[in-house]
Amino acid sequence: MTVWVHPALTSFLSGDYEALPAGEIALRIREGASVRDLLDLLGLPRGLAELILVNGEFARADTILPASAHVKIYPVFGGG
Amino acid sequence: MESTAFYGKVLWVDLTRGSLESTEVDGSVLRKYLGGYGLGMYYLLKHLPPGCDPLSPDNVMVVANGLLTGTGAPCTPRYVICAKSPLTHGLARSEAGGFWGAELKKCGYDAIVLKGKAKDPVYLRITDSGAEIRDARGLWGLTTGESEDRIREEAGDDKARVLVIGPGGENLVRYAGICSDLAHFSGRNGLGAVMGSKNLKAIAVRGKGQVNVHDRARLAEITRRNGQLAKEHPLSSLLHDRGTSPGVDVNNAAGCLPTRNWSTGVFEGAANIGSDRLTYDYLVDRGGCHVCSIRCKRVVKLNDPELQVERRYGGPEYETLVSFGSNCGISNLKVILKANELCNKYAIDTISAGMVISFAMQCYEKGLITRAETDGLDLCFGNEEVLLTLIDQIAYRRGIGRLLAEGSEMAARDIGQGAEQFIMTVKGQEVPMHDPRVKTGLGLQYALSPNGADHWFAQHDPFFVSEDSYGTKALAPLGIAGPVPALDLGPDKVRLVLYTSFLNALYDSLGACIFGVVARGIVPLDDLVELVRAVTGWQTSLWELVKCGERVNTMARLFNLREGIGREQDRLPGIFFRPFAGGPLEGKNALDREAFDQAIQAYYSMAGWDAQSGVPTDGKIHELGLGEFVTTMRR
Repeated sequence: MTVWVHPALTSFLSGDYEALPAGEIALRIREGASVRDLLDLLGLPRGLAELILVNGEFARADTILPASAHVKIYPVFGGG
Repeated sequence: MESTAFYGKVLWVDLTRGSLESTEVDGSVLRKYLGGYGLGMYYLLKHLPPGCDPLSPDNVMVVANGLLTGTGAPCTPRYVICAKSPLTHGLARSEAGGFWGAELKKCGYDAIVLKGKAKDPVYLRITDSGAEIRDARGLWGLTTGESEDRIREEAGDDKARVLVIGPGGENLVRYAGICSDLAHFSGRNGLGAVMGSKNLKAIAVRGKGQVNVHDRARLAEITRRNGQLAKEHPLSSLLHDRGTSPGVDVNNAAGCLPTRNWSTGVFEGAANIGSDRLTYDYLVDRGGCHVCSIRCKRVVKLNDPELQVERRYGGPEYETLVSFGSNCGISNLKVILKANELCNKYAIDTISAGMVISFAMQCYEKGLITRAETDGLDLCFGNEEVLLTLIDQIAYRRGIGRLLAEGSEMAARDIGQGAEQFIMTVKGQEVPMHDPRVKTGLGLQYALSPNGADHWFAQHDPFFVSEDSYGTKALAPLGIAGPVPALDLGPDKVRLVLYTSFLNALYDSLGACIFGVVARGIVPLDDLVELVRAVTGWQTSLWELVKCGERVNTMARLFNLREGIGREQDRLPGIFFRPFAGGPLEGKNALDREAFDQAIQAYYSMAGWDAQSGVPTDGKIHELGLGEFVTTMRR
């Protein structure tokens, strides 16, 4: 699975993943895992990422990830 | 009732008579209204003549410190300025942080109430030894930075804190703001024009007094704890690192980034004006406020052969990146930085200015404004040069700037030919850069805010959408039971908006920054209550304090009702009831008008206001202890 994490979130990342070009990362995750499982695996604090795109579609924390997914993760935003 | 956090002193300034008077405030008034927004509403309701012309000497302007401002409590630097708005003709109120409020407190004042109009330009100078009205004829026409330099020079004190208007306020631009330290803005509602109409250029403060605090050890303990939290908490860390600029990237990815006067929600040049470019190419420092270790403000510098931007004017927030960027079809970040600096020099609101310009651009492209009417300017979306020219013309009311300085609603009436379809205002004020079609609570905020479209009347939906969300967890003590979906418009969403509108009004009365306290910030509700106890010595509770927030909101409602602003003005622009055009939300997310109207009525009911008329019931007025204002409202 490949994941792109918004640069504002990369300092929060921990865990086991492989860095790819263009700021993407690759990792393995068990079949049937949810978006929340992925965020936990990446070490992102819960609540910090609220906009998640899975293969270009809006996803929620309980969305089950398909076998080959490209995930984009953005920080929560409100007010400015 | 004694309290140590206040001096209990208000400075009354009659500019017509040139008189100054200092009076004591009754302790019971302070406990009931706290400070800031609450105290401001109290004085407006008591002293502002209903129906007055907002640009006349009759208008009353209150500058009030929050209860905690200047006491050393964390993340509480803010002061509120309020009056009647020349843009909305209802309540004007705008808060700012920085250091000015704390400095005023050190001079021994909790608030300043101004009325009348000086014969010639003046400014106020306030120190521990008192206040004086000084000649400002030599300052009139100067930018904010030039004025600050001259005032400090005249005072022989480069540490004087200066609250000042620029040419925007002097020329009565209806969305002119007021700034302090050149980078902290009371931007919205046209308060700068109110100050300009009074021939008041600035208020310079410099105090050396120490603010009394009931329990200094307890205050220090809570401040230390929250200072540590600011270093560790992901939200404060994100704010320090990036400010609010990630919003450009997030909203573009979500398909809701206001683009070309809101005609679509995706902008092809978003990456050029987003968080990485601002942070890596132009950011030279981060700025902060009194007793806040988050330091979320941007400081930029540009030393280009063609464009220079001085770092003393700070840098753009998300709102400005979008209002002058995607909203005007502009993807050159340097031009946006310059536009931000110009607005700060002239002290005009970047949200309204960007929205008025994007409206003019759309009118131009649709043929409602011709090149002859713009003196040859090509107002097409994306024209970088014309953006900067228009800001100049607005501030000095030159060329088409004379029309645009009136705000988009009045400009649309003048242009005619159906130009109204291209404005996006609530109660006459241009909407900020957040789309209610992806967060319905924000739509309710825009409609219900007493001072026109405002994105901080309540908290934002994304902080409450899941069990994991920061708001869901942090505001549980307020009675917000569980997550609420972003697109929900039922009773759970209305209650969320209602309770957090009380909370935000409380924050504005305490001087707390929305980015410093939960849910957007870090200071927990328990600590906030403890801070009030430690500072004042009151045996208070979350219940009493939140009731203060509720009281202030109902006072603002009463103020607007007596100005003839009520149910009919609590509405959203038509565009939000139509689906998105383009991007991932193409054809989706139109707000349901009937559901939205029902939600507005539900808010009235829950607030104790009549469900049909939106007028506070007698029962609610008396429950909140506002009986003394009923006669004023109903006469």
